[in-house]
Amino acid sequence: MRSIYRYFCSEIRRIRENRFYLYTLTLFPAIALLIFVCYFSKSGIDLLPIAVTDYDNSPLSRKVIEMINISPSVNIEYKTSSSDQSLELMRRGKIYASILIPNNFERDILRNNNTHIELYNSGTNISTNGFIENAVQTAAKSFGAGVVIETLLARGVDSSHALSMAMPVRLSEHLLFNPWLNYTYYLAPCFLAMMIMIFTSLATSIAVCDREYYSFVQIIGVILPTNIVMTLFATIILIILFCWFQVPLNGNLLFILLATYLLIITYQAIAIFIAGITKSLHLTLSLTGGYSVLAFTFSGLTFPVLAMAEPLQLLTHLFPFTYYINVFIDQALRGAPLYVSAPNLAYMTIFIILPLFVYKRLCQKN
Amino acid sequence: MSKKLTTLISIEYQTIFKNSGVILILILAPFIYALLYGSGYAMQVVDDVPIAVIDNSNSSCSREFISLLNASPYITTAYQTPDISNAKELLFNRKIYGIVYIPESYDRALLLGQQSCISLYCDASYFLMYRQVFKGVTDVIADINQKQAIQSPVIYQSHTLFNPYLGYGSFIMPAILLVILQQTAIMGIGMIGSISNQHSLSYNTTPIKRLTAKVIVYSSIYGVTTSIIFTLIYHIFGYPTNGTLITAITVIGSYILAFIMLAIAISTLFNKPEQAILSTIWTSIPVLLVSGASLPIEAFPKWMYIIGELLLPSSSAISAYIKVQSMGATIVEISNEILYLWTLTAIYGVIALLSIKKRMLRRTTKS
Repeated sequence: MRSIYRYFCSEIRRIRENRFYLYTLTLFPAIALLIFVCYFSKSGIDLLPIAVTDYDNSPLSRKVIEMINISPSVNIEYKTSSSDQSLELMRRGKIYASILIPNNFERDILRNNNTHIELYNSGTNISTNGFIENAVQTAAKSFGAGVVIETLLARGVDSSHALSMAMPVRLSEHLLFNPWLNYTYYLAPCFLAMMIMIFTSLATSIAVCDREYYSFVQIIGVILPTNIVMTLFATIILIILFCWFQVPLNGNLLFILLATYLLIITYQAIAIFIAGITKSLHLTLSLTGGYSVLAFTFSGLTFPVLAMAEPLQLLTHLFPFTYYINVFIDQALRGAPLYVSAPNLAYMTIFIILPLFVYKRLCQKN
Repeated sequence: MSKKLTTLISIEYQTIFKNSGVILILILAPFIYALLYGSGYAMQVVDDVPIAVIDNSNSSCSREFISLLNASPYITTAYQTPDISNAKELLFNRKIYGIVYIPESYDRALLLGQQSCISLYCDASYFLMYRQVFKGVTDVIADINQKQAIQSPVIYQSHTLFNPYLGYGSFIMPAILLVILQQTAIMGIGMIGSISNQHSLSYNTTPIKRLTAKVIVYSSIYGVTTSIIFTLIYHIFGYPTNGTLITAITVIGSYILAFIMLAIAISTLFNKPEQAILSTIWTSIPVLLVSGASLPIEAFPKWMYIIGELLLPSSSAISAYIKVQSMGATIVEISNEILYLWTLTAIYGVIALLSIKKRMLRRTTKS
C-alpha cells in the first residue's frame, strides 16, 4: 500500500512537470465539457425553414399553407414563384424542403377531382428530413381528411360516421422511453462518455509509456492519478446530465455509477495493453485515440448494430463503450430490469484482464 | 524553382517518411478511418426492424393487417405475443423495437363501418429504429384506409430529392471524411513541426521558402489522399457525386490549402510530437458537431456555428461539399464558402509565416 502511494506521488510530480500531461487531465476535459454543455444547452430545435410554391393562390391553398405553417417544426420562410427558384434556395442552404401546390387546386377539390400536395425534401440531412416529413404529412393528411368529412357532412352524414368513413383505421401512437423524442437525452450522455473514454486512454498512455517497470504495484501507482481525476470528471458529468439536462433516471443509479467507473478502468486497461504491445508513446496515443474515436460509430446508438454487416456486428463487441451505452440507455431511459444490464457489466469487466497478457513484456527492459 | 526550395522540399519529405508515427497519422489514418467508418454505415438503411404483434382480434381482418406489416420493407413481425408483458420483455432485451396492438373489436368495427384503433408502442430510445417502425406501421394503415375509406381528392406525395433512399452513410460520411482530413493534418503536421528539424535549419533559408516547401509537400500528400478518398472510397460505398468535377476539385483544393495553413500555424505551438495528438484527437467530435452536418444548425446555439465557421475550414468545406456533391450546386451557389476558405487560408498563412519566423529567430538566438 505504501509503495503504491510512493509511485502515486512520483506520478503527481511527473504530471506537474509535463505540461501536456497536466492539460490532458485538467484543461482539455474542462474545455470539452464546456463545449458540450453549451452545445446541448438549447432546449428543443428551432423551426426549420422551408419554401412554398403556390400556383393556385386560392383560399383553400392558403388554408393548407396555414395548416402546415402552424405545425410545430417548420416555418415557411419563402414563397417562391417556381420550383426552380425553390431548388436554388435549397442549394444555397436557405431551406431544407419545398412544398408545391398545383394549379386549380381549389377547383379540383370542389369538383371532387384528384389534386396534389407535394413535398420536395432535400434529404441531405436525415434529422431535418424526418422532422419536416412528419410535420407536413400530418398537416396535409388532416387537410385531406377534413375535405372528405366536409363533403360527407354536406351530404347529411352524421359527424361520428363521417369520421370513420374518412379514416376507418386510426393509429394511436405511444412513444416509450423517450416520449419527448429529445435527442439530448441520449446524445449528451454518449458524447460526454466518449470524452471520459478519450481522456482516460490518453492520460493512461502517457502514464505507462516510456518507462521501465519492476512491479505490478508500480503500474497501479502510476495510473491512479488518472483514475481519480477521471472519476471526478465523470461524477461532474453525471451531475450535469441528471440535474441540469434533466436526463430521465428511470432505472438504477448504482448500475450507472458502476458502469461509468468500469468504463474508466476498462479504457485504462486497454491503454496499458496497447502500451505493452507497442512500447512507444506516439503509437500508443495514436492507437488508443483512434480506437476511442471509433467507438461511437460501433456502439449502434445512431446507426443500429442490427443494420451493420455481420463481421462488423462482431466488431461492436470489441468496444467496452458499446456495453456502457447499453447500460446507460437501459437504466436511465428505459428503466429496464437489472438482469438485462448485468451481462453488459460482466462483458466490460472482461477487458480489465487485458494488461495481464502484456505484464511480462512491460516489465522487460527496453 | 530555386535549388534551395527543392532541397527544403526533399528534407520535408524525408522527415515524414522517416517517422513511422507521422506516416501512420498523416498518410494511413485517413484511409483507415474512411474504411472503418464507411463500412460501419455501409448498409445505409435499416430494413426489416423486428416488432411484435399482439393480435387480440384474431380474425381474417387482423391477419391481413399482419401480413401487410410483414410486406413492409421497413419492419418485420418477428414475434406474436399473447400479452403486453411478454412483448415488453422482448423490448428490454432489444429483440424488438415496437409493439403493435390489435384490439378485439378490430374486425367488428371495420365491418360495422365504425372507426377502429390500432395502438403502436415504439421504442423511442433509438431514433432510426423508431422512425422505421413508425413509417412501416403508418404506411400500412394508410394503405388500409385508402382501400376502405371514401377517397379524399387531395393526394399527398413526398419526394426526397438528393438522398432518395435516405442512406445514413450518404448523409454523414462526407462530413466525417472532411473532418478526418483536417484533424489528421493538424496532428500529423503538428508532429512534424515539433520534431526538431536540424537539416532545414542548417540551410540559411527564409521563412517564406520554408512555408512554401511545407505547403507544397503537404498539398501533394493530401492531393493524393483526397483524390483516392473522393473517387475510390466514394465509389465503393456509393456516396453521392452529383456535382461537376471542377466544382468538387475547387472545394477540396481550397479546403486542403486552408487546413494545411491552419495545421502549420498550430504546429509551431508544439515541442513534442505527442502534444499534437493530445491536443487534437478529442476535438474531432466537437468539430463535426459545430459544422451543423449531423444535428442541423437549428438544434444548437447559433454562436457556436458562427465560431466554428470563423475558425475552422471544416465548417465551410462540409457545407460547400454537401451542396455540390449531394445537391449538384454550382460554383456560384457556394461562392460564400469558397470565399471563407480563401480568407482562412490567407489569415492562417500569415499566422503560419509569422510563427515560423519567430521560431527560426528563437533557434538562431539559442544557437
